[in-house]
Amino acid sequence: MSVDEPQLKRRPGKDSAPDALPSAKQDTKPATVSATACALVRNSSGYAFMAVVALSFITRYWRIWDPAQVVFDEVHFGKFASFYLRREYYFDVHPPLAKMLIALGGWLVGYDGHFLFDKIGMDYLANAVPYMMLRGWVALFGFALPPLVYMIMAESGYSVIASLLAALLVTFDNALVTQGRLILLDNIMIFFMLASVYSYVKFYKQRYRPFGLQWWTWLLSTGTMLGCVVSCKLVGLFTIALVGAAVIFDLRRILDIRRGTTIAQFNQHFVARAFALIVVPVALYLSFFYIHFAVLTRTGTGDAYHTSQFQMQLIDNPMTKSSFNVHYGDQITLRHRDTGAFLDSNPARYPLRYEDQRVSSQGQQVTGVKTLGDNSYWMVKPTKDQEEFALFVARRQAGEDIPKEELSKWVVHHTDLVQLQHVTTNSNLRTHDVASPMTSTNMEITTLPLNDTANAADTVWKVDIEGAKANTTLLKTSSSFLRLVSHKHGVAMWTHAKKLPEWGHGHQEINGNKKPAEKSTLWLITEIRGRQASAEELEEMSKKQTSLSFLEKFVELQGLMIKHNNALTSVHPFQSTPLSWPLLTRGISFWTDAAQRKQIYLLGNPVGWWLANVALLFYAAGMVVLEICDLRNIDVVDGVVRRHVMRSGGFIAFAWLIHYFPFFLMGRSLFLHHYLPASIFAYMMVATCYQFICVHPYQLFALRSWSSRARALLPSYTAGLLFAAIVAVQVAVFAYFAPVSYGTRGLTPDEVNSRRWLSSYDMHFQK
Amino acid sequence: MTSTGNTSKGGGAQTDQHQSSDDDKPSAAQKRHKDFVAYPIIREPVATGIPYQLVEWNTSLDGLAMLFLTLVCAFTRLYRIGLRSNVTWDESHFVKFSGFYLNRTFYHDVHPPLAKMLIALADVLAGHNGTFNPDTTKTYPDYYSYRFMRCFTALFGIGLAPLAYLTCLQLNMRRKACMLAGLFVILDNALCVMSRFVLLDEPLLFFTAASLCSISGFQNMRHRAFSPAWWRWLLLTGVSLGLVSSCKWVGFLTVAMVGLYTIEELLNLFADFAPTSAMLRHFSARAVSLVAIPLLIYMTCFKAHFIVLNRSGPGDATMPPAFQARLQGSKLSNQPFTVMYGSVLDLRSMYPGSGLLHSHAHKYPSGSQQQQITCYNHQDKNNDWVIMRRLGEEFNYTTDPLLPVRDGDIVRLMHKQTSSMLHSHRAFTAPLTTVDYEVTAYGKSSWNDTNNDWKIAIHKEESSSAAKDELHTITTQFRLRHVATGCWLSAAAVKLPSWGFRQNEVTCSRDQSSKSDASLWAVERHVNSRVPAVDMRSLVKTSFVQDFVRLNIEMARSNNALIPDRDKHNHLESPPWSWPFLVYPMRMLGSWNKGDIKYYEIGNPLLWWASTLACLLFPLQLVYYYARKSRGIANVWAPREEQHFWNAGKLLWGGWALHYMPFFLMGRVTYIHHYLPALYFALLLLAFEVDHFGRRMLGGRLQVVLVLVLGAAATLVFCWFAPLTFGYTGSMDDLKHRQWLPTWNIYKDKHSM
Repeated sequence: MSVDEPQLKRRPGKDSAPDALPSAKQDTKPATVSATACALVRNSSGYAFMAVVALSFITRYWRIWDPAQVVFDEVHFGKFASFYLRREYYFDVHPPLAKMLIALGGWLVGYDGHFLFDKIGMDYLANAVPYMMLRGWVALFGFALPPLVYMIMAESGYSVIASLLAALLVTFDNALVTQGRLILLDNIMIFFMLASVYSYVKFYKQRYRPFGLQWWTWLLSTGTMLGCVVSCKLVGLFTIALVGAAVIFDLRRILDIRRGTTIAQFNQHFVARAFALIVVPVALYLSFFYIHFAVLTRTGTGDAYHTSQFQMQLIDNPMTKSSFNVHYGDQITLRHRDTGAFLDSNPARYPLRYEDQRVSSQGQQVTGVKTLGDNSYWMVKPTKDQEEFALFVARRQAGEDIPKEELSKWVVHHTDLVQLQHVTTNSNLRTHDVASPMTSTNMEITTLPLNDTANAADTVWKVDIEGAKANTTLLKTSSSFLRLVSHKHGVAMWTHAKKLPEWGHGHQEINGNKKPAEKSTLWLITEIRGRQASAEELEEMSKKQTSLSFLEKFVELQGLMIKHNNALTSVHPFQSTPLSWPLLTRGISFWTDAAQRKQIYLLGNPVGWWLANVALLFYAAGMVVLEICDLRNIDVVDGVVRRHVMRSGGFIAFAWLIHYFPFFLMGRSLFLHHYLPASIFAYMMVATCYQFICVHPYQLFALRSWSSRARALLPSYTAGLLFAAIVAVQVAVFAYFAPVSYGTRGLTPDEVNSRRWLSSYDMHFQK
Repeated sequence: MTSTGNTSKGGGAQTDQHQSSDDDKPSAAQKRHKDFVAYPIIREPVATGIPYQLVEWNTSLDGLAMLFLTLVCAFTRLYRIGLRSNVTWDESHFVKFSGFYLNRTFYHDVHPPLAKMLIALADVLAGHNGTFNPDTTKTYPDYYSYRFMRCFTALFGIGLAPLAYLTCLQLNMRRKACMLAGLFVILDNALCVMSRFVLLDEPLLFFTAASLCSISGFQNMRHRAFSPAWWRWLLLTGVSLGLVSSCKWVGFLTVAMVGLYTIEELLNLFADFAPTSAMLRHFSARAVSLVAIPLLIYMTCFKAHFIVLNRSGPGDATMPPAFQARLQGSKLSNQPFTVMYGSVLDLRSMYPGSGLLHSHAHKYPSGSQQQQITCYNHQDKNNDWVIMRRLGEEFNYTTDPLLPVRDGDIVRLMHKQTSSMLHSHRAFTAPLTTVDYEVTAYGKSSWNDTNNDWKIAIHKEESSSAAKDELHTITTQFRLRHVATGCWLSAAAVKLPSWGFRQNEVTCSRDQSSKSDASLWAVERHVNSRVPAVDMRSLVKTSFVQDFVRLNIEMARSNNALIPDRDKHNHLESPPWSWPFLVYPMRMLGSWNKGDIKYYEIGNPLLWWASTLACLLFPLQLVYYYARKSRGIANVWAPREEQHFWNAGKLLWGGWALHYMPFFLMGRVTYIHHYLPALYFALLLLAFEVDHFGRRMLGGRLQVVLVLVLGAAATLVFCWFAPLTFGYTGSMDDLKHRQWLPTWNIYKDKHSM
């Protein structure tokens, strides 16, 4: 990966052009080269690093207060930060670290989380949000990226000029700048990603001093950073895969008997790495979730994603607040968990014949509605002790106060067989072997008049409370999810988001699902008509708050995150395919201000990205050529150069690959900013190729670390010119696109259209 | 069996000498990489000239073994094959397709034609006349000898067992293991049940097995390059590859396997300093045999497909109008030729998969909320458009002399059913392709609206005899440019969501340089009572290559459209991860009551689980042997056995991985029988591992015991599940002990809780 012991061994024949190496001769010509120039060369790495720091600071922090409005995904991440500060539980598909860091920034400046970032374009100043501090805090991570790139390159044995090239390309990338100065997760994630890579490079350089202090420090640092990156976004798994691959490469080397390692030593190496790179990240990942749960103790928007047990351990949750036992004779409302629709019926009938010529039962319609109405109340009736029950109902309707002991006889349990009587039409909920109107594989659900006893078996339903094991479990409102499974047919009452046509008034279709065990068959009793909690009941309930162990909570949340991440398939107008990312065929509109014709449009630096593609292709082609030459034992490049370009270059190329290609396998909706981690490695590849082409002799220019003294600066004037040209173009293009990257200046239609280098760049205000 | 051992020892001694002389001078590559451990597997020098064969072909012994396997296999595949006289499982498709060949009507399907033409051949041999349609009758009529059909396709399934034996022999496994491999193939219930019906899987599996067999024969000949036997195996490989990919596209995975093998071989040759001329000969021999010949076979199958299917049929609409017009009985073959003002036209987008310009009385949910314009792939009255002159140019379409539509004319198009005009505007962008303008149907023909004006730009006239500047039916390809905005009417086969009925989006493309097919249109149908119809078949021309490419694109499109429908609650599909573990076997018919003849697609669980274990084991073995080598632990193997381990293992394991892993990337619906080609490789790998461990760890007697025990266990399990393979009529309650996993639905579905 790096040139550890650079030897000033010149390749014979290549030295014939000494003029091309002005700095190389500094020792031999002390009289003609001024001392300042010498010092400049020697300290060049430090100056270059400082320049990168300064430029990075300027590009990230320039007018960071502009625009003073909510931009793009600040909607989400700003809101989440507010939730942390309010300690209200929310749900998101990403792990918590980055969001907690954002919240930490808010907490430090005394922000109380009063603003919820509801819509793009909402004003920060009017809502008194310390947004500038939040952005400035997050931008710290974005600001750190170019210096980190410089450090990685320098540690990997590149020259000052190549390292500077990579760092400047990253500094002047529009997408990284846009993303780097807003309240978003990606910068924080990329920061930890680069920190992992930097730590690993430092660790690898200690390979001849194993188990020393430095070796352990950097190994543990790698593990810590990996833990952080994966706790920001699950994309961090790719970084873990990158380091994992490098470790396997390294272990393979150690295993070789010619290295003289014993099996015991190999085992030590193995165990140390397993501890630092597996145990430490996992422990960190878990501990961030621990903090997450420890902070978010109050009920909030995330409740509904979770099981009732989970919800009931949150402070002030509505479940424990209005959770009553259900008794026979109660008039209840049933809400479908996934779609939020209420079980409803109305006197209208199913049409005799559907559009596809299938025939219905012409029974009374049973549908799902979004708003509660009189038609949504159902009375729970037992299937035995009918007379006694009739008496009981009559007494209740008469307003008689029934003693608790007697009342407890009529509570509904798990596995009870019940009937549900529709209150307004006095008919029983029924399913039978007729195909449902729109889902022909499922059974139609309708109602049956009370006097029809011949088909009464169709109206018997088994109450199945989710998670209940014993049939003594009581059915409760607001807290127990239940299934209603037809006793005779074995189908479960189910609904989905499909709307019935005109005859069904656009209500949701409800039918009997033949796979009753599915999660989508769960319903919740939201209300008992007329039932309100008395003061003592309230007090009693608030004591009943359950508690779950951390691991239970973690496992539940982790499962939900994966499930919902895969379910993020809804079409977004600015989503894109992975293939289009390196080609940069389209950006993302982040924010617009129609009055001043301002906009923020996420777009990489087109020239930089295309140049990076060229570099990647060049490297791939170069590797193929080198391998083929190798097969025939042909020496095309010097051994040290070859080893460096293969190992360090290979590491960078693999890093790019592993942060890019897995997206092709993902089914979820994808966006351009998913390519940003990979784009940094692509920029590094430009520097690798630059080094390979321009910097000779290799050893003279190689840096040992980012703070070490350089022995030489500029390999040749052409190399310098090439460097200057690439950087100049990068800066020029960056400046050209800056108005849409920063959103600080309005553009005329002509100006917008001149920036539409590809017709697919769909910026706003084109006319 | 004892002769086997002798041969192996003899061969070993011979090669041993040679090996040691090689070892004295390490190869150039090893010298170079001092820090680099030698490759996990020795790169074998090609020029030794000594063939390495542990087991030599013995005609009487091996012939007898293969005959035995064939007979046993024939019994399992043919026993009670005609039990169920109903159309079973996908027979409904393939019997129907075969009928299309007999009737010579053009149809469209996702699979290449070879296997279906073979089924049609069976139909011809059985003397069927193509009148039986499984869509209408589910029971085979008396005049249809379905037993013959099933026996014919079962022949391919029967061939699998001797092929497995021969392949293993070529891969230098000992006869015990070869026999075991043959038995494994016979004793797998899934392979068996799928061989018993008129399906494509049998030819596909047979040709896959044939490819593996011939590539392994070719591998054995690698030291006798360009010998007749070398050529024979190489050409056989090419032919098998051509046949397997003409059955189903899964065959391309077999091609990939052979391709990777060939690349490795060529690189080794290159690394061993083969002279350039030899390299060229090697390369071109493989290019011809493994690329040109398969391609030729693949294309020949399509040529035959087109020659046979020369009548108009249900698949017409998938092909371009010129192709349709040449089919006998097509409505397109007799139409007015020159388009006149007032003609009623159906316009087809030249972009594959787009369809016909369509509108209907539904509105866009967003944008202008005017009437939708879409592209629709089926004949429909809503595809009819009247071509009119622009407002202000008075014209009586019934009485005025006929006026042809010319290049550069500005025209208007009126949707005939709703009498609204094809319209576009600058104010709204298209619903999905937001860089383009929206296209709608809006306004009446009498309204003065310049947004209804479109300019004809003729792109190409295919008919040489027709006037170049006039618009003609089918033969003219043209663009429509919106006059007011300068955009081009385009349809790039982008599916609209449910509000657009999953038809394709039509936009007005602002891309000034638009040269793509998306903006090209042709008149597919033309109705004008004032213009006499002519025979289009003499005017249109199509080339085979164009049709071939187009049909393949359409096949790919239909294949990709087979996406799982979550609403359908299908019990048949299963995700790829579940296959090797046999988690979700499948009922092959819906009715599962007592008295029904029930077939259940379940593999032999013992073989499936054991073969999966073998597949997981192989890479670990590679790592283990590599690590041993790294540690300098001398191998105690027979000379060259390491080479043998790699040579056979890479084909079998690689074949399994290549025939299995790609299914994880496919978006389409997947079924358990998609695993069968991979299973074939896995079963052979299992036999290979048994052989390998037997050799390494067990004495001669114990090896025989191991083979016998495995064979007997597999037979027992096969018989245990045989009722569901051969057709079971009793009550499923009697079979409840066969439900080994809770996910199986042999006995009860997940129906009840």
